[in-house]
Amino acid sequence: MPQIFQRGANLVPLKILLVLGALATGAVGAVWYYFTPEYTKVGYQPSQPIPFSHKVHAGQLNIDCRFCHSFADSGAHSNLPSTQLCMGCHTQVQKDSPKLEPLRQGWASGKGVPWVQIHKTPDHAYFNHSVHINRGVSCVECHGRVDQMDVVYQAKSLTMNFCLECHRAPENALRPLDKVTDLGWKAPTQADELASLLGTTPDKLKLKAGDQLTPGKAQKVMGEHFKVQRGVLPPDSNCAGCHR
Amino acid sequence: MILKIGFGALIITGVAALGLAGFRGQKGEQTHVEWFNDMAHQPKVNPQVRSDFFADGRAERKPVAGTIPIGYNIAGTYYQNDGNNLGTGVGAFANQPDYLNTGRIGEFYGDGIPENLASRGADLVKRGQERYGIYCSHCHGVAAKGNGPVKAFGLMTVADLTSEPMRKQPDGQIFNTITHGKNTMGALGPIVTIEDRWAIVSYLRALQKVAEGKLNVAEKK
Ligand code: HEC
Ligand code: HEC
Ligand code: HEC
Ligand code: HEC
Ligand code: HEC
Ligand code: HEC
Repeated sequence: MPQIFQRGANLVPLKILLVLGALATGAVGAVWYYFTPEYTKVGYQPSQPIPFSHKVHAGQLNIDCRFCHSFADSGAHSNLPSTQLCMGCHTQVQKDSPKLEPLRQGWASGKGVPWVQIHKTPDHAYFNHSVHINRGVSCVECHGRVDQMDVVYQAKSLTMNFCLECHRAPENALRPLDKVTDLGWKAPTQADELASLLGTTPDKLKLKAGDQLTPGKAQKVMGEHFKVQRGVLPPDSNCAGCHR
Repeated sequence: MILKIGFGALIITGVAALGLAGFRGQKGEQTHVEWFNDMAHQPKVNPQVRSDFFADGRAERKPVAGTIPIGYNIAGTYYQNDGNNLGTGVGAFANQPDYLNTGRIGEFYGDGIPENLASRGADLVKRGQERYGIYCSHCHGVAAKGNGPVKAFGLMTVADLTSEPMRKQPDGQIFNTITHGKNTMGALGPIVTIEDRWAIVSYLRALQKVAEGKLNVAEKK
């Protein structure tokens, strides 16, 4: 009779452990990869009742975001526009377009258009648009290049980690208040231009006149300036700042 | 043998998972499953959401007819009080159809910026410049010549706001046009606050002077 346990059997427990270890790693990896808003929310792009294009309205026509999202800079919630506002143009422009049929119906009946909500903070967290916009945080930081989207999708994860990353270093995001809705805007990389934008001189910003900066550095210098000027101090370690 | 089966299975499940669930950031119609939705959906009313409780399907309610909010503004109500942060110094009960709120004195349009706002001087014009850029420029053009980008796309009737008749219009009438619209221009009262409407009027006056050549652009600032 041959032996039941051959020599190789000594390695079996080790192999089993190895496989279990790999399985566990795989499972953890899958949870890490899939069980977060980075996966569950980014890229969410529902189709809307009307094929409304930000690329046309905000991009081509250059309508300011706050014309439609009119309370983004005065309230916590950034509203969607009323049908009345759309009809201000669409009683004349493309007035017979079949794409606009739901709009005309919603307007006539007073029921509005049932847009599908895309971005949503969980109810246990508090978010406020106006505080960000009035301190010079651009829409682009949290929504991406909406002005280039034909159909809006969620571009950023908006996880707690995402919020905190900026709250710990807001200088990477602050910009002049009149550029908040200008999504493609970047800080000028020329030291003198940057200084005159900020109303100071290059040496006050610890730069040499005529210097050429990297975009990152220019943003940082500008951000630091605004951070001091506006006294920006976002909640980072204080949980009650966002969970109130 | 064990290793082959074990790792084989792992690779197969891995590929299957990726195939089924895809990568991060892929665009899609469907909301993904929320694995831990803890307290993310509480039975409270959020802004602009649906509610099946009310017949019209809206969760947000309008004030009962004939009532006036005190101490804060409901956007777009005809009479507003001093609830908002711009602080015009109007009392909390100033909900009358006075000049500040309507641009009219009795039956006629009044002229001039209401006193409590006019005292803000250049600040008011600056605010007006910003707000004009948001609410008007895409139709009427940056210099108010009636040539904004929307006109080129088919909104043919947009008016030139620097023309002679516009320069002669009393401030109150322009205020009224912003509030209620006029002919083919839609009402903007629901989105522009009272103070901002006056600020826009005062900025518009500056633009008209620029167009007339009475004010150069440097002075305007
Ligand atoms: C002409 C009006 C209009 C303008 C201008 C406009 N939007 Fe919108 N926006 C809408 C409408 C209508 C929707 C809802 C339909 C949709 O999602 O496409 C919307 C949806 C959105 C959403 C997604 C909302 C959600 O449900 O989560 C974001 C984010 C957004 N807009 C950002 C912007 C930004 C940033 C700008 C400026 C670059 C802008 N919008 C300009 C009308 C407008
Ligand atoms: C300031 C004016 C303006 C406002 C406000 C506006 N639009 Fe438009 N919209 C336009 C113009 C101009 C076009 C035409 C662009 C073109 O001809 O390519 C257009 C095109 C469209 C189209 C494509 C129509 C077609 O048949 O190709 C849709 C859909 C649309 N708009 C929906 C909306 C909705 C919904 C709103 C309200 C949230 C809205 N628009 C508000 C000016 C406006
Ligand atoms: C600091 C990040 C941040 C910035 C900056 C920001 N948003 Fe948002 N936005 C959010 C979050 C978070 C939500 C989801 C809010 C909620 O659930 O109420 C949201 C939601 C929205 C919505 C959808 C509201 C709804 O309930 O349908 C619109 C529209 C919107 N934002 C427009 C804008 C515009 C326009 C700007 C720039 C003027 C802007 N946002 C700037 C984070 C931001
Ligand atoms: C790109 C930068 C940036 C991002 C991203 C960001 N914030 Fe902020 N946040 C700020 C700044 C700047 C302030 C202003 C701090 C101040 O006023 O001193 C602020 C302030 C706040 C406040 C304080 C409001 C108050 O009344 O004091 C809250 C709450 C807040 N943020 C929540 C959030 C949440 C939730 C998110 C994620 C969805 C987020 N923020 C993402 C930059 C950011
Ligand atoms: C900048 C604002 C902010 C601050 C400060 C903050 N949080 Fe959060 N937190 C959020 C947001 C936004 C979410 C929701 C993220 C999501 O799931 O989309 C969240 C989610 C959570 C969750 C739920 C996570 C889950 O998976 O559902 C817990 C627990 C939490 N926070 C604990 C804390 C604690 C503890 C602190 C203090 C150390 C804190 N938070 C500080 C913004 C904040
Ligand atoms: C959606 C495009 C649009 C927007 C936005 C818009 N207007 Fe107009 N406006 C028009 C059109 C179209 C007319 C021509 C009305 C007519 O006579 O049929 C007009 C006419 C006017 C007139 C002349 C009214 C008269 O007595 O003949 C004034 C004043 C005016 N607009 C001011 C403004 C101001 C101030 C704003 C910004 C708060 C503004 N408009 C925003 C489209 C617009």
